[in-house]
Amino acid sequence: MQHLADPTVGGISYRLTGLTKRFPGVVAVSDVDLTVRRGEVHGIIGRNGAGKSVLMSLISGMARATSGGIEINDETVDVAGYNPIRAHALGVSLVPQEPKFAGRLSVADNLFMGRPIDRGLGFVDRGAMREKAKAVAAEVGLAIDPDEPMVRLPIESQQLLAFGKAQFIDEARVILLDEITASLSRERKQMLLALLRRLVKAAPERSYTLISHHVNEIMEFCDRVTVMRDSKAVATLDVARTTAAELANWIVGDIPVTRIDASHGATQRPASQPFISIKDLASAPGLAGVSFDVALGEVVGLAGLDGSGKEEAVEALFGMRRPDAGAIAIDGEAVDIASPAHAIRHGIGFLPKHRERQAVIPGRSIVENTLISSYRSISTALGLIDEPRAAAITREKMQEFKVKAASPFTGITELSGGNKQKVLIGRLTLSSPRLFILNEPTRGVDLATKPEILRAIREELAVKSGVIMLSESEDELIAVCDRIIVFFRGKIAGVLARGTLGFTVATLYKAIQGV
Amino acid sequence: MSAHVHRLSRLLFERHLIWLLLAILVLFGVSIRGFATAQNLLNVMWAAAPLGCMVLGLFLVLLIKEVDLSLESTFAFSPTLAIVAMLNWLPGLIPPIVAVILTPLIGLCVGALAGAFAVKLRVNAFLVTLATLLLMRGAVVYLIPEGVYYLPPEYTYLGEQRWLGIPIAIFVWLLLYFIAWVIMERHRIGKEIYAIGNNEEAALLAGVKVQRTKILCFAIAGFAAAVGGLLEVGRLQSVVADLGEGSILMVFAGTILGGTSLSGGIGRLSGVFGAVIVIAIIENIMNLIGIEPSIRQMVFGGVLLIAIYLASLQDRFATRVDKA
Repeated sequence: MQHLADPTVGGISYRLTGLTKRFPGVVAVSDVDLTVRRGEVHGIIGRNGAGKSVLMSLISGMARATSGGIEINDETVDVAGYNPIRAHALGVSLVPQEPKFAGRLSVADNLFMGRPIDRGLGFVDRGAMREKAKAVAAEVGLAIDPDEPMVRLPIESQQLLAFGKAQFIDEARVILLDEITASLSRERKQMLLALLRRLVKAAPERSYTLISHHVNEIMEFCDRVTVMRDSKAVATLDVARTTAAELANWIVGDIPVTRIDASHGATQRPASQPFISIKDLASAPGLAGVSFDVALGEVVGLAGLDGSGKEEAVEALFGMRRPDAGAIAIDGEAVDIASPAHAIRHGIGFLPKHRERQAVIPGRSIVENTLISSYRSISTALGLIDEPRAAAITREKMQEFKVKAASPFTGITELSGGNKQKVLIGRLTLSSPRLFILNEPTRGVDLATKPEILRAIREELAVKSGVIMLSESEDELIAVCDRIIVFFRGKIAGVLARGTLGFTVATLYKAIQGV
Repeated sequence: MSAHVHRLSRLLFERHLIWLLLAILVLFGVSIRGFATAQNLLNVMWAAAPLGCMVLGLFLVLLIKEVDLSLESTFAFSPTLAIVAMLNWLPGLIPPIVAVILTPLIGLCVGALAGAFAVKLRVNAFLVTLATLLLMRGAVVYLIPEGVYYLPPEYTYLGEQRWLGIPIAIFVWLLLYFIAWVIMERHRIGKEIYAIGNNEEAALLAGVKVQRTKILCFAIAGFAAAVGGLLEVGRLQSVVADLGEGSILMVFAGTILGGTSLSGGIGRLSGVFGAVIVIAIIENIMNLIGIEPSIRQMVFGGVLLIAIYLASLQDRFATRVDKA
């Protein structure tokens, strides 16, 4: 444990001493000491499974610590009897990774759930609540009708409202933000984090604790940062006196950080004939007519902000949505892709963005998760599965993509995010698609695994097939792609090709922002 | 060490709890006169066979995160329709053997129709099958208000007769479970059913034909319930208008006691098989001791409460692993 800053300045917002949380067989949070001051934005960073989210649930009373002490706003918390109600009374509010609202209720009803504006005798003042809800939405940069049902809003707006509720309605003094930036677009993220900076100056009795995966975010917006590794808090650093590189070293610890750079991103490959072409694809709203093609052996990046149309384009390509107009041709022949099963039959493989929701089959083994798309190919005439072969194939894939697990029969839920992703990539390669569509292949994957996945895309997937890759990280796209197609407001704003002068992160970033 | 205990308790909850319960019941049963005779045990199994068929059906439907309340009506409707067709409508054209074959096919059709209605039109299966539950029961009462007491021996053969002293119904039941086991554990369809139950969206994106597989589960459930009805009609050598009425509750009891989760994707065939036997033995023991029917219902209510609690423990164990 290394304290580089004096925690007494400004008064203490909350303090954890020796906080430990044990689950059967696992220590999720181990002996954590942490002091967060009033008037600071405190970052918590660490790889997947380092214990960040569990730590937040301990502070907010969602989970009960096994041992250790919590002190909030100078009050000592009875750890054994701590719960969310108590946490709320102490001024603690957690904004979770995925906002938890009652979708069919209106924005106003959701924001004031549990503590409505009272007229006396339990009658609520709907007018006042509506006005206040509107004002809160405006504070976080949204123009919203407070009577709108919550489900109709995009996740991003819900996330911002969740923060607005904690800040302006609950008026919490300890605000915990659990990877709130993950589902926000870049603009929203910048706006929200800038708002945090403003708010913390305006009301210095508050503290913000920000869990993040992004070193740069922490460097830009936090005062101090605590690094978690293997369920321990290994360092608390003063952001002004550290560098991004030093922070990254603390995060990964002994594991050498493999730099992803253009060197193994390969020289430009000899261009072969495009085999799949998309013409004038349009799908309202969001996609206003785009055309591009992909050749075998080529990695094509699709870049763009949220809502730029890149998601809609690949969803149409994989049969997840019906485009309004446009044609898709494979080997010069027009194809109609009505469902994912169709797309797979046409030789298209898709790695979805939301891994847990759209790809992982929880409760089943690695074998079943690997083979779910390909059981047909290893079945006998009667349709019975050749079990030894299934296990052997899975073992092969686990070796090929370096999946760390005890055995192929291990349940997939026991794996880390990165290993799950490798299993899913193995699943894709099994049906030998000619086109891979990878939507954020490194999302929620730890730093040590990212380079492995990027290398596999380059060296294993893009050998006999074409690859379309979507990523929020410009660095990744520059490292891996042969061409990058930039989407802006539903149209293609430009194409960057490897080997040309403008193939840099800076140019790409500007193109994505449309400046 | 605690990891070992944890794994052991998980194993116990997930796979072996029902067998532990069965062992305890049998030990208890041995102390009762008339329990541990071959004849009594065969009778237990014989009586369990029709319930076992319906439980198999509900098991499949619960696995895909749906529900079918109408199985008890399918159980009565399928044999009724086949019998009425055989005896009244087309007496020359449908010999008893054909009626035997027709019975499960009728179940298959009504299951597929209810499934298609729920899946294709995206209507809650609970409501759809609540309607078909009433619809089919009404049809049965309309068709045979007085019941039918004289059935051709060919029609009751499977439910009534014995081979080597063992009721054929037991063989039919075991065969049905064996085929289902092969499908669930060794066939692509089984893997796809588990995939759908655990994460429907992921299954769809992995290329599984989700709608078709779901409708198939409803169809097989109807089929299995109809086979159960055929066996029960044979065993009673008659068909009455209230055949199986109210038994859906016991079907749920068996399926859940066997470790099937109401939230889909979790459950094993061996578990529900054991649960059916457990229920039959409890019923048998209460018969032997001579407990009144009203108390019997209370006992089953209690058993169901315990089963539900254990099932929730199992779910909690599963999610705990997720978090760790």
